Amino acid sequence: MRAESLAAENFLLPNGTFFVELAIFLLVFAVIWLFVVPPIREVLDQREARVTEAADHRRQAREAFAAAEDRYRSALARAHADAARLREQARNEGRAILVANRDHARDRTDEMVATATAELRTQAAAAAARFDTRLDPLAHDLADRVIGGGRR
Amino acid sequence: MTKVEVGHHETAHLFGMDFHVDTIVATLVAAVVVLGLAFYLRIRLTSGVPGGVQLFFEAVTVQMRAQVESAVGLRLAPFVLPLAVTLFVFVLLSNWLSVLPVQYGAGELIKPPAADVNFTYALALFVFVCYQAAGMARRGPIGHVKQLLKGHMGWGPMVLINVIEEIAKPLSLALRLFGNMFAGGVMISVIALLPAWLSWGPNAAWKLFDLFVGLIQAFIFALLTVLYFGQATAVDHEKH
Repeated sequence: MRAESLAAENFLLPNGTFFVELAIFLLVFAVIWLFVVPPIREVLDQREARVTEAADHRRQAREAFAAAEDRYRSALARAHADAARLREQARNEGRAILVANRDHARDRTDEMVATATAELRTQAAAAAARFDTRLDPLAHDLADRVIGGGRR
Repeated sequence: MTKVEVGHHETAHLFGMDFHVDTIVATLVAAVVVLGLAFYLRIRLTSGVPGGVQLFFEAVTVQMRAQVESAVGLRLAPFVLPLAVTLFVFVLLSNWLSVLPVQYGAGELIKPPAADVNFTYALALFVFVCYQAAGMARRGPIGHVKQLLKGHMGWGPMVLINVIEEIAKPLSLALRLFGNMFAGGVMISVIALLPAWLSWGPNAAWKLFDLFVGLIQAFIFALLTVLYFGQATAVDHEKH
């Protein structure tokens, strides 16, 4: 180790190199200050804005989807209600028609029964009258035979 | 017998001053690399998917911005942020130059510039002047000096300590970086004394470690710069 040269010039002391180093550093600093950091900050801001915007869009889309789903559900519920109402109405109408038809059929049955009864009754009366006319001589004849045969 | 030479530089004499040519060349190489990256970044800059260089600068910017915002506040950020980014990137690339295995004569062609005090003094002095100026701008020249002398303890014997601390700040900033990178070079020289069939292992291991040290030291330099700005521009709110 060259002790003399070290003592003559301690390496912890700066020399003319200092100014050159400072100049180089200032140059680099100026370039980074003026040309690198501002655009990077701008780009970072832009990206942040874009991320915020995307998040906004996502939120809006989610809200729109939720609204559409709500509409769909309410429409579905309304349709269900409508269908139930229509079904109930149809059932009522059907029951009314059924009752009406049953009444009608009963009326007709009653009528037919009444007609048939009346007809039967007339026929029975006619038959009875006819038998009356034929029964009387027959009874006489029969009685004569009984009585007449006893005498024989 | 090979000798370990400490603090030896190729020196040129000009205008009655000494210039360390090897340090200047190494610094220029680092500057060219940084400026090349900067211009490459400027050309390829996009707010879409960033490339590798942009990602690097963005990561450094975001990291330093967080430090600046927590320590200094937004008022000084337009100046302190580029300063911190420059210091980190420049010191980092300067330190990482030492990993290049470029031999020239007895030593390496490109030694880390931080292994020369001129480099670290230049950076630290610039930082020192800037944060003193920032303090004066924020608190007024008189108020700034008063605040420096008073520190946190008020008037008293601690004034002396505060003066020493204020001088020690740039000195320690410069010498910490210098010491770390200088020691790296010394270690490489010592390892080079081993026979060649053995020295490659420790050499590789040490250079890897030197990369790590270079990263840490670059970060510490930038971080301490931000913190010194924070201290110099803090306003005392405790008026009783």
